[in-house]
Amino acid sequence: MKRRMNKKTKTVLDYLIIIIIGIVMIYPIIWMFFATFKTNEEIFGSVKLLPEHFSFQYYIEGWKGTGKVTYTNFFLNTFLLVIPTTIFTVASAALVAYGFARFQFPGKKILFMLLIAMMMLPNAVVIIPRYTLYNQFKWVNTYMPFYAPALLCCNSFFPYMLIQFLRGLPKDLDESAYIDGCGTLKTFTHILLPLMKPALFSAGLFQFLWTYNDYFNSLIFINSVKKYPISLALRMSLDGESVVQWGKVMAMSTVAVIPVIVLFFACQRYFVEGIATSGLKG
Amino acid sequence: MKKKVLASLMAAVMTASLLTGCGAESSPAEESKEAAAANSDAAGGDEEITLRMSWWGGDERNEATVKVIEQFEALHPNVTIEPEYGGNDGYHDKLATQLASGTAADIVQVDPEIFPTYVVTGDYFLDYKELGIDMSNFEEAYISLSINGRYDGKQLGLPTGISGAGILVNQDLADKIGLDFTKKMDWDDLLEMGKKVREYDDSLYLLCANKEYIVNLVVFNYAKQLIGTTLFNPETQKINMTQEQLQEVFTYVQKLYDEEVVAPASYQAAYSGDNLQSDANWMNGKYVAALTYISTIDVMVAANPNANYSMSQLPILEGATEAGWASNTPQVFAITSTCKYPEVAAEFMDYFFNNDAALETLGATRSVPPTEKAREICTKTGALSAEAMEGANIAAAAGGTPNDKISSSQESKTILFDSVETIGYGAGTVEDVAAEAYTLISALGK
Amino acid sequence: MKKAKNNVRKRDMKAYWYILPWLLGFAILQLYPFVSSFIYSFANYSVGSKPEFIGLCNYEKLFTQDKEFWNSLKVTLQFALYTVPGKLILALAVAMFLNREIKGINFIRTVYYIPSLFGGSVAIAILWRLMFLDNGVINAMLSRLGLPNVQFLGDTRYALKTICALEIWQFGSSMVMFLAALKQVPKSLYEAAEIDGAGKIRKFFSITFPQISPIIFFNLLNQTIQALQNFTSASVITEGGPLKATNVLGLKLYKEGFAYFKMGYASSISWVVFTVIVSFTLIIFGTSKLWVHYADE
Repeated sequence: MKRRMNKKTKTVLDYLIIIIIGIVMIYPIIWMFFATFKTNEEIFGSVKLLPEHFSFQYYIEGWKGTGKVTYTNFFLNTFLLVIPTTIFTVASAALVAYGFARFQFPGKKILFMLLIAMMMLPNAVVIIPRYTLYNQFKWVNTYMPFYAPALLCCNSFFPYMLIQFLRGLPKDLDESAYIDGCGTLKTFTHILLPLMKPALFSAGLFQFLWTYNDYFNSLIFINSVKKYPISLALRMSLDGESVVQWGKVMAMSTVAVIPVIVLFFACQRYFVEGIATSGLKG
Repeated sequence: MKKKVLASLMAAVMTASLLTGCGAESSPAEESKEAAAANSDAAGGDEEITLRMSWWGGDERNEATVKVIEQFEALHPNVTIEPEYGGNDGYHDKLATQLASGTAADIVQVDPEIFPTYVVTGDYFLDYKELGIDMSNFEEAYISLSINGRYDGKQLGLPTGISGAGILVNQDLADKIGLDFTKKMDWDDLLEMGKKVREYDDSLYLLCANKEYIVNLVVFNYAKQLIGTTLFNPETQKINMTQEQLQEVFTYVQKLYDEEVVAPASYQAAYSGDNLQSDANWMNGKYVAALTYISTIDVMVAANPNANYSMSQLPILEGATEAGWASNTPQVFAITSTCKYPEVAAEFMDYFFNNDAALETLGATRSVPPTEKAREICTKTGALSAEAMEGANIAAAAGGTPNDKISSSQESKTILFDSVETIGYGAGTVEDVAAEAYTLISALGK
Repeated sequence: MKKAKNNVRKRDMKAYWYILPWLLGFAILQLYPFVSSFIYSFANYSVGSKPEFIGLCNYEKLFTQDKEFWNSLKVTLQFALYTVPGKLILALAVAMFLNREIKGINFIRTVYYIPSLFGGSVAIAILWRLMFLDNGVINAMLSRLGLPNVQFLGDTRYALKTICALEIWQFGSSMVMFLAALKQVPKSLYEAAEIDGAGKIRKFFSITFPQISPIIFFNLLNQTIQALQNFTSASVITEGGPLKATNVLGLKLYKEGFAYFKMGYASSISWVVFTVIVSFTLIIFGTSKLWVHYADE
């Protein structure tokens, strides 16, 4: 009896802790949301959370963008850029991870080392040779600089992450599939892939988010304003010689984050509930 | 197997390097000259022509420039100009990458302080003089300065406006305290005024500034006035200054901090670079004046619109023969040598700088316009603020020599930023800071 | 017996097909930039001009003349030292805390992930600066609590910590990976342990930790690599200041390359960073045998 009471107070306590930490975590974001209604003076000149007036003027003005290209275009561009990139990344990374995690082949060690090594060189210095290379392929001002590396698994983070998840799955699974007469591909698609769902969804989420927020590569490779994704659009009017309405910047930043929030909310059940319900026994 | 993999990797590396080798061999400048000859009348013809134009700017500038492009396209239906604009963050990183790979836009806006670096590293820009653009509206004295685009007799860039340094005064506050900014000042006057401000109210400071502004407006100008010329000799690339002179300049900087003419360095740190406009104390009218460029006056005024402003000139050292500060452009526009239709690009620039409708549309979105004609149009339409115009006149009257390209390089500036910061924080003695900075800076020259 | 072995070998050779995308990507897209930057590190190469080979001069200058370098190295290591454990512990704790089936948990998880969704966006940069200004929200709160104010951005003792706080605040990606990993732990293990009367702490160390250790390992490695390369946090908020207190190597090499156009020198810094990262990786790999448990072994 006493135990049960404890359990109830414990749940309340848990909620309380979760909520308090949650508020601290998200306070800056709440502040940012209210800043979308503030003038520059209010944003920089006072510490008050609530704005003096509520008006959606900055959202409306901001959405129009500058020079005929609106945020409707920017959002469409972004999805055109991000969705294929995400799908290519997850697909190629899953295959490569399977190859590395489940087979013993000659040269595996050295290839694996090369795979990891590709994560370790700072990006800034490879930008210019990479640009030269992509320019030879005529990829500049297209989304190929994003698609091609995704298709060819060039961000080692993803295969490596999936390798780690795969190695958490017992090899007996494969063995019994082989005994049932499955080939390697069938074993992969029928047995392992469903179990990797949480990992695949988190990989997809990360790639979506990182490409979505990637400022530098978009800046370097995309020229035409018509093709700009959101990450470029958000900084489009930032200039020290011009009056920047920060409320507008905040408003558009807020709008820009909505698709990702929705995506995370929608995908959660896949990576948070995937395995537990599929009833894997260790 | 291992060998095969290695062999194919090697092959890939070699093809890649061959590919890039090819790009560098043919001279883009020559090619485009031939193309120019073939397309001399292209803008009037029927051939479909697409040009790319890149710049950075805020909303107003972007909007106005796109409009001018549309106006030009309406007059020349066969020409399309693809705009490529964005914020200033990373603009020059991209431009450097593009110039190096021969993919820069046909018409590019460039920061005049970075322009020389490009001019030195490659044959990237075409000479406006050879393209037959009408430059009669520009004053020869203005466009012949290298900072405004003239290098070795070639007009590689054209100035988009007039900027320069000055002091933006919160006139209401200055009157209240009884400070007179209209007289000719020397540097010690600022210290005096700073003292008065602190005596009047110790929540106020005389000058809104940060280390970048102190370097660009105080250090450079004080130094040039002191030595009577630029920090480096542009011909010999040797340093013109002695370590003692640098130390004298830094001693003055130390006084600015010690005598509380400016806010403490640790306060300024949160508003470095372009962020002066977001200094809460400026917005709340806690500074009597701000170090400023003419091109940012409007931004500073907008940050605290509740006051009346006037422009004042920077101090001049007594007996100085060289004022140091001068007017120069905030940006230049150049036509790149990879442009396939340089004549058409030139025709557009001609329209951009000389056409009445274009000038009216552009207004003062690139600071005070560079030509008398444009200024008249802007004054008529009310696009030009009184403060900006006043500032331009003051800067033009000073007639100092702009910085040479070595001392205005990012690297040299960073050395000076670091020195000012160290002095501001009191993290080193002026002697030590000057000695170290002097060693580093003189190593940049020959 | 022999036949079975042959079968296994035949099967193993199929792995090349699976890793083919990466092999192609490596050969066509990655190798050339990688090797170029190595070659540039031995050259005097400014963007746009031809590289001029100068042997080890870049490295010599870096190690013997460039005072900034040693400071930057120290700052970078400090940055990694604060952020990597900070992020991992927080992410794991929150993931375990949120790994439960209570009402509204989906919403709560989303809330915890929101700060990470912004990445290094301008809005966050502005926001963070505003929060930590001398007269910003945090100081206003400190005043209300009767505590002395702190110059978070202007004081050399606090600036790096402020940046680290931003980095740790965005712990969401690690949290998501931990959540996914926790779901892979078979529930039967916990049930068995409960029957044995195991307490929470014992359950964590004997079941949870070993079961998710591959993912902890991966996060540790990845976060270490990211932290040692990081430059966004410092560049958007303090630009390396005050007095170089936040001038991490990533930022320094970026400035050398893109502000001073010294790509050769920047490349040599990169390769030093690369070496540092490789050493850390080797250490982490070396210890992994002691604490990482793979189900496939």
